[in-house]
Amino acid sequence: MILDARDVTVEFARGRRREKIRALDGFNLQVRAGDFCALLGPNGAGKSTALYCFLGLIRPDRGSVSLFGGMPRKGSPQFERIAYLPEEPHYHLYLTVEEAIRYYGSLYDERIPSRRIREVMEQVGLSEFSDLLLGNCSKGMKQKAGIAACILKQCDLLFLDEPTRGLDPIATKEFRDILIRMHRGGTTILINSHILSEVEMVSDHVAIMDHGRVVLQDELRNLIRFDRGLYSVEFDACADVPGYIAVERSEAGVIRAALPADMLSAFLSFAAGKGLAVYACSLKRNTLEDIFMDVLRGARDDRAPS
Amino acid sequence: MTGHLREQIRVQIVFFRRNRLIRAVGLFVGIILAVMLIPSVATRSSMTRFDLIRRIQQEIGRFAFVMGVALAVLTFYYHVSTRCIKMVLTKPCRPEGWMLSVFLSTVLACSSMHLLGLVLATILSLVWTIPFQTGIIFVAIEGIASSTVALSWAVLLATFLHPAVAVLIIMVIHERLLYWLMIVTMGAMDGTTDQVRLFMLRMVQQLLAACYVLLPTYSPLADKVKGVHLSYRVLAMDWVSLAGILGYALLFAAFCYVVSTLIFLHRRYI
Repeated sequence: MILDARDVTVEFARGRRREKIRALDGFNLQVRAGDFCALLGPNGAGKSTALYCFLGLIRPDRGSVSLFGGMPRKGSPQFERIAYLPEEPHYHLYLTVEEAIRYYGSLYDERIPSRRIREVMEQVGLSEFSDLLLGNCSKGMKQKAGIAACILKQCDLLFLDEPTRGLDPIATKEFRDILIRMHRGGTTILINSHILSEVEMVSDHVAIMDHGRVVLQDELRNLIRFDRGLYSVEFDACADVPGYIAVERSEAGVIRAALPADMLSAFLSFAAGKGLAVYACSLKRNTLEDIFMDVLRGARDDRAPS
Repeated sequence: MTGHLREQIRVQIVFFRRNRLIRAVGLFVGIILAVMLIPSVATRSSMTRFDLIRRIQQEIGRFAFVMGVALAVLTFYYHVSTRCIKMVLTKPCRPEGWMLSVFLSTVLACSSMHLLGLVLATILSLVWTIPFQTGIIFVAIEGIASSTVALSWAVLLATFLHPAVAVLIIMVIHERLLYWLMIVTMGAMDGTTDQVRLFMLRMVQQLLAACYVLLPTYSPLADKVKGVHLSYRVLAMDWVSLAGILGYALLFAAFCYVVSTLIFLHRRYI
């Protein structure tokens, strides 16, 4: 196990009265070598706090965190094997893009060849902006500089906190490709993201968090399955849709709907009888978004007073 | 560790060069000190050139002192408040090393300002054919020691206080103020017969005395080396005093470094 967090509790004192807020409450997470694990959860669920605990930036009030078999400490040699991309571009804004990448790289190895720095800048599309101060860069460019610093060194574990926030679609795609390459190269990745469709594309494990604890952790392939009881169909719009068809969306003259599997032949007869074109008909696939919503709803129902 | 430290110091110096607030503070303090020098330059006929050299070095020393405190507080505060310190602490780079780089880079910047004063005073001495006095070197070294004490104290205070409060404490609560308050309290004690009031004043006096002992002094052994500042002539005993001043500055800086590092390691700066 590369990362093992057990029963972690973190409290913050906030406001004038220094009221205690529990950011993590009995948090558990296990990440094995080679996993591409996504930490999901609504705003304020405690995802970033969990990441700070893994990075040794916050010491848990209770529980334990083990990273490569040891407790994470700020600046410890464990970080030789770790790269981290923060949520907000918290970089040294007074440095130029090239200086920043060189500086972050130098904190791993004392000398990084200039050729290597140019290579990674090229890879993330920052070579034209090497002399630009980070303070004058757009959010996306700052994030790219952070990505460049992460890929400068081959690491064993990569922590990503909302990595594609502020990136344009092209940069997002390029970044996703970089992540997939790194993962294939043996890097374990822990990503914290709100963009479920993106997580679904890259990760193989998910942990869903709510109110400071993990409410579900499993392999993505165990969660995303075809629902054998439901069909997803798309057909020409018509006025009198039978009651067994649950319409999800109707636009541009096409209805998208779900129907029970045992009503498939009835639906096909209905479409043939009406002369409606059927554009799609397949077993309904649960998306990560469906699972996420179900899990959170379930967790909240459990917590609600009966 | 040495490589990391060298790189950290280099980056802190880039910060000094590019930070607008530091530039603004430097310009502001520089203008004030330059304006204060104008009367001396304008009325040079009534003032010896030697005194003018002394004055210039003194003003540059003051500038270095103020800038040292500003640099120390701003360097620490900027990296913590913008959270870019996270990028350093999540690398295999000891927090102790980063803290040391804050101390060393500010000492380096202050020392170069004091050295500038030394070089300027030396050049003016040569230009005006005034025999070179070793006091110029003495004053520069003493200035570095004094700045080291102030900036170390500034970093320590900035680890747990808002920078404005830290600067205020450094500028306002110093030994001279405490000494004056102690004298005032003593006078008040002599003038009162009310037992309750006397008791209260004694308590205040004790508190002031404790603060007086605990607070750092920016110019230790000032009375012993006062003559050097006036004449730029250094006696053998003065060098001994200077060694004492340097020893005090180093000890105090080491103390501040250890305490600030401990606070830095245990506080949540996220």
